[in-house]
Amino acid sequence: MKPHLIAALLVCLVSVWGSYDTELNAAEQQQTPNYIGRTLQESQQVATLAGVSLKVGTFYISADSWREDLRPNIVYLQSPQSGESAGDFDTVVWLFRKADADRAVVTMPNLIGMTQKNAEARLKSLRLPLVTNPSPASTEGEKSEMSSQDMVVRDQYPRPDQKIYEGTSVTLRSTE
Amino acid sequence: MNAADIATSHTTTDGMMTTKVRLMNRLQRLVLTFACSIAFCSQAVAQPTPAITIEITVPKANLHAGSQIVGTVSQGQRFEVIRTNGDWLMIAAPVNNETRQIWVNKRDTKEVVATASPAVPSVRVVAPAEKPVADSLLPGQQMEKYLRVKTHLAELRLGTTVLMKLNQGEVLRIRDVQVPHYKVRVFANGSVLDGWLNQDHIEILDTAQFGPSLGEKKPSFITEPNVKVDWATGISQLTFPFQYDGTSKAPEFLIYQPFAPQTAILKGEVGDGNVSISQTVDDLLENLTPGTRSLWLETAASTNSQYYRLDLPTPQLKTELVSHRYDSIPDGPVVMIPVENLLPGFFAEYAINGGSWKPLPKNATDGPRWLDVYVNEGQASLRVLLPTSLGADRQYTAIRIRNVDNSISNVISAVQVGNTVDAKAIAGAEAAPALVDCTVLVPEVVILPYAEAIERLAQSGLKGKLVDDSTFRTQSPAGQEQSIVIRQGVPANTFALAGTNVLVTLENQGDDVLPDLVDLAGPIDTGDDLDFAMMDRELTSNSPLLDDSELTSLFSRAGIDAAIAEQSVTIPVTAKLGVNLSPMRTAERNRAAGSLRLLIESLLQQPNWADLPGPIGKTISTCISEHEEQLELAFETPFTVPFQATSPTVETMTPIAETIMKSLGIASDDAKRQGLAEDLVAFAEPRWSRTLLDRNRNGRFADDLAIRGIFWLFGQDRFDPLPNLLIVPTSGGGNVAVVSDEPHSPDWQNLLSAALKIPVKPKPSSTLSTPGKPSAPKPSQKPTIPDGEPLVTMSAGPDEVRVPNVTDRSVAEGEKLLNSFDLQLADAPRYFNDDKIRGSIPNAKNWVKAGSEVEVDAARRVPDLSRHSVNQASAEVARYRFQLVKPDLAATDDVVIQQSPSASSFASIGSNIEVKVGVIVPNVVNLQQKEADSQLKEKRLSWTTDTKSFQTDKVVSQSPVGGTLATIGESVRLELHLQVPNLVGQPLGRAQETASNYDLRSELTTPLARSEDVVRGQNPAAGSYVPHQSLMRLGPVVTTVPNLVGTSVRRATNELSDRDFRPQTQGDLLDSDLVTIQTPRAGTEVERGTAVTLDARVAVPNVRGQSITAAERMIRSSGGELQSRVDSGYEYSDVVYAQNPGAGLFVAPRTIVTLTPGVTIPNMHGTAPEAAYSALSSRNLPYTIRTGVEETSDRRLVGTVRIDGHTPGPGLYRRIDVGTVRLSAKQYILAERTVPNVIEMKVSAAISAVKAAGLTPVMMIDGHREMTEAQYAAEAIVAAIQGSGSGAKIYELTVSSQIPRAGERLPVGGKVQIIVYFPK
Repeated sequence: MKPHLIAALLVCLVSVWGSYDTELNAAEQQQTPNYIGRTLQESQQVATLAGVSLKVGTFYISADSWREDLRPNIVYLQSPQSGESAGDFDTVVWLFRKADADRAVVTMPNLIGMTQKNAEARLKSLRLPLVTNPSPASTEGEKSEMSSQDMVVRDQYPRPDQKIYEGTSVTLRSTE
Repeated sequence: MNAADIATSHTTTDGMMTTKVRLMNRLQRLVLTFACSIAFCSQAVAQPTPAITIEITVPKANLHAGSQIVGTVSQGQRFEVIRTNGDWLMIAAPVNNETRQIWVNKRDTKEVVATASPAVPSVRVVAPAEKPVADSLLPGQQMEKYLRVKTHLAELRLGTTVLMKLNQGEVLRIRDVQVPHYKVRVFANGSVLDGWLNQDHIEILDTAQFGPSLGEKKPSFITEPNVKVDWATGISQLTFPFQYDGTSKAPEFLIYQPFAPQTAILKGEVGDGNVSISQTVDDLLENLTPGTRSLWLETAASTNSQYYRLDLPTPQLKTELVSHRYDSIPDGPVVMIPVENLLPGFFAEYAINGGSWKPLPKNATDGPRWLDVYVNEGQASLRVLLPTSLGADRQYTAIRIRNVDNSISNVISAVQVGNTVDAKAIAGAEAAPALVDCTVLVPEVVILPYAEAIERLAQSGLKGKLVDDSTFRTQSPAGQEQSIVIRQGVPANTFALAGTNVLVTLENQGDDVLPDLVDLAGPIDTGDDLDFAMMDRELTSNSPLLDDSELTSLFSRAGIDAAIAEQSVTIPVTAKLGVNLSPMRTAERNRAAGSLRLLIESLLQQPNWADLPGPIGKTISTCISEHEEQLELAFETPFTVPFQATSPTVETMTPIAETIMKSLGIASDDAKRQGLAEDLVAFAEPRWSRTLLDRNRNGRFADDLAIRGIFWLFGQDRFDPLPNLLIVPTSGGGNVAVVSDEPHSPDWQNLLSAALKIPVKPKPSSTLSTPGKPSAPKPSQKPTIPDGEPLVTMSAGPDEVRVPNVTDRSVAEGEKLLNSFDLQLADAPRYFNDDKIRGSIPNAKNWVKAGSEVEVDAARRVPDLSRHSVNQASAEVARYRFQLVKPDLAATDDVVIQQSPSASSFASIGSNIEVKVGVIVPNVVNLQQKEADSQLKEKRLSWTTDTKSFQTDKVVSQSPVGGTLATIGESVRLELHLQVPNLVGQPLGRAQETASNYDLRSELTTPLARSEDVVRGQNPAAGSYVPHQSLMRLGPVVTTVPNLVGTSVRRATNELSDRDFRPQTQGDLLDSDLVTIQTPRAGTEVERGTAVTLDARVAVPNVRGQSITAAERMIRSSGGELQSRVDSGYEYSDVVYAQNPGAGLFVAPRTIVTLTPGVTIPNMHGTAPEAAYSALSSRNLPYTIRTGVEETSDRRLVGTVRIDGHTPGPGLYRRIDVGTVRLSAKQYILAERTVPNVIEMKVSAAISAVKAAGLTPVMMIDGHREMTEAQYAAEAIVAAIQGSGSGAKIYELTVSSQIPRAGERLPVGGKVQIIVYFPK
């Protein structure tokens, strides 16, 4: 084997070992990449490279505000913002869709303070899909054991009282 | 749009996201090279200037790429000129460790005499610059004839010059080798390019391994002019003309992809002079390698396979829904879309009501689907089923078709209501070519060096893209080519769309600087407090200054400058507005929010943050100057006054709120200040870190709080930015913000509008929703004053406007620009949109009346006429309103090979376009010379050959090959092969003369052949075609062998020698020996010089049993001077018992035959003793005799003596084995018996008594019925059946008498009558 290949292999092994070490607290320390302006596929690749989970939602835009240069596959909204930590929450990106004229507009309810279960029921009644059901638990095991009944919504997007179209994806941040 | 753009845009549609389906899988391998194919297609082939070499004459000469200087070259360096353009020379020079084609000014150079190896520094790989010495192969190396381009990185180079990029998968013939470079010839855009390929980018093809051998099985080229491939029907059938000679058995064809391991994939049949291939296209695609441009056909049935090349056509799809019909298909109406030039593997896509594109399936059970390709009278149509629409609304189904070679059809939109399809389809603009969607398997590139990873991805049809491992922004790979890839964005062994950018990160990116992080339960931040989504956070320009020319075209000459200077500051809006997320926001409110956001984004880009204009700028500046230091300290130390808390409080934020409100000119009251401070706390608290609070990443925090405060006040309707602000589009396509510093008077906008000398007709909402793209106002319409408080008081426009500079713009742009100044383009229909304006009347900057017409002098882009027929070119030129100037001799079907002015250049409308035409060289291979001559003359081409030529000769190759373009009168070099005559059966002399007449050289298999000898074989065979002056081997040339049997060996030898045979003898013979056998036999046809064996051996006669004397005589007389010798001890009367050699053996002359004497003992049985004595005595044999007696009933023998045996018996015995002969004899006497007395005996007893006496009983019944004993038994049975009495009873009868009487003697067996009487 050629020396440079051996060196490359060693570098890789060290890198993998090092990455394993750093990934132990990556969930808390990972800086959210910038997804805005990227295609969904590229965003998913970036998420893969960053080692985070990416959830994709839809945001309906009124026909008056729709721009011809909008692309259905480009990310225009993301949470958290670039450079922020997602913590244990999933990163959510939204793709834009043009709202039909007959698509209903709803007022985003204030879900903060509600239990996760009640919030989900409320969103369902308004035909607002939930793109993520986050929990701050540090391990999957804890996460699975945690009942949505025990979780309280701490933040939401879109914001309370914001006018949005039916079908717009909503993300919540809930903790115990 | 370059290939990367295509790939990117293509993979961004939802329709494409769902194309990981079976169709795509089938196409998987087809698209491995499409990215590079497109790159290749879009790559202009450099036309090398005849070798000009220049030398740099200045210490440092700048290298230009557009308006940028990208590097320098040093004095004395020499370069080969690739192209010239005025004072600019294109050379291949090193830039950033890469060789690029780059421009250098002629004034910095001088022309020098070209040298064989120009010294070019820092060039990594330099292909041979000139043709190397012929036969430069390594010793023992055999020239491999073909190579295949295996990467998309392959560049055809000549010296340092990159002639063109080659397409992955191209198969090219190797013309020369100079390791590590291989010379090939490429035909591109009518040019012939000879250049070199690096071995790293090619693979040498083993022609013996796959497919037909190019070396020996050279294909006849079927080029497009001679092939009519109806690929529309090729979905199920492929047809092309083929001259079937009718000799091969089953005219089946195999189709190959050259050099592919897959061999026969289709079979065809010949009929009516055409070949039809019937097979589903899927099968073809399963085996077709991407980039395949031709297939090979092989006649499989014949032993002498013929090979043909079938070029795939270059498709130019053009579809238009011209008709539709309704079949009896219950699912819905069927529309027919005429299609042309479909390639196998095409697929269709559809979109309903403007939705995303989806693959149009063929065999779906519901939804739109295509049924088949229907061909009628040569017109193929794609039949598509559109299911009945249940809704009452009109449904638009858009359909487009893609070919595997990346071509794409127009978009056809069928309008449907229920089960009715509008007869008129909507034809959309022709879409740009794009990659074919297909999925490819993603390779593993982790732990590979970056360069190798990119290479491997490219080989899989993917693109590698290096991103930083922390920000994931695109990064330059320069200097990191050998760094190890540590992660890849798409996992290996999964499928991705071909052409996808695969993101990779490298090792050693440095330690991540972990940011200050927000609490886990922090706010959801989508980044904009005004409910705008960012379209693009990148600024469109780094320059904070407005371009003077734009100002000139924007503002009037007088008044406005002063007005703005006094009251306003103008700054360019360099940010793009996002998208409004709120469905309910009013246009006015949206305009205000958008203006506010654009202004703030632009203010933050100003170089001097301390003196930003307007109240908003002042707010930001003041907050920074007054509060930034305290905020900075708050993060460095525990909070000092006033930031004493560990987190922001209302108290700490109140001074900032106060500053914001004051700077904005908002009357401050406690409630407002309190509310703002609380909002600032709510904003800052969860972001209380350096990273998060500094949202615009400018290193300051006070501006972020100020902006938040402005947004909050705007959201609370306590601040309106519009009175101080106007966003105006500029002629350059951007926006400018006009900001008033002071609180404006109510008529500020009116004043400003009046001062502006441009027809400001923007609809602010539309302007803001599409920033950077000002809406084109309709000059004929009066501006509409928006509802609510007007931003600008619109007028009908100025009376006088300044003619804008439209020179060098397209007519479309120029007209738009003129319209925006309320000017009209004179004689507008005369121009095409992309005509280029050369000047205007009046000239730019002249003041004219608004609404007046401006004449322009426009040039038009010259159409590309290359490869057009003269007819087509004439039509095209007329369409463009140019004049075609063609050579006098040009025929209508000649092809344009050169044009002046060149394509895409601009020329005055109506000017001449001079063309040079060429003809398509016909394919004359396999034709007879006279036919080739006729066809070439018809095309006004001459021909030459290096040999003699006969009309019956066959053309085996031609240069240039058929289908290529040639100039009129150009000579085509033909290689002719002659047809070999049949010389078999002719005398040699005549055969040689015939061969010479046929331009053949001849040689003989034997030098001894004489002219009268007869030719019995030839090679090559009669009827085959061989090159002129080929060596023809005649043989065997034969004559007949003479008859030599019976002649002496001497005479025979002499005769053979005279006839140039080689005499041989079988064993040692004397000259006088007579030939008894000859090999070959007399009359046999053999070549002279053949050995003839003479044999004098004779056959030994069979003398066994012959007397010694007779035997010796026979041996002597048998020829060959044979002799005899008799073993000792024989009598004169003896005969030959044995002989050696045995009878029939061939023996050499004078052989002695040894005879063993013997004696013959006759058969003496039955003879009288006297006769036996005589016979034995005559043979000198002693004897003894013994006599016995024997009864006999033969009265003739009674009393005689006869020999009844002797030892030894009769036969031939060796004399010495026979002693005394022992005779035995018998004397015969008569045999008699005495008759017994049977009278008074029962019949049964009597019969027994007679038998016991050796006599024969005979029954005499009633004195007259005589019967044998058997008859008597039968009589007894009859009596029993008839019931006349028991059968046994007749045997109980008593014998009455007998004849003869008892006591008489009878010979043995004599008859004795037993006389009985049956009772009555």
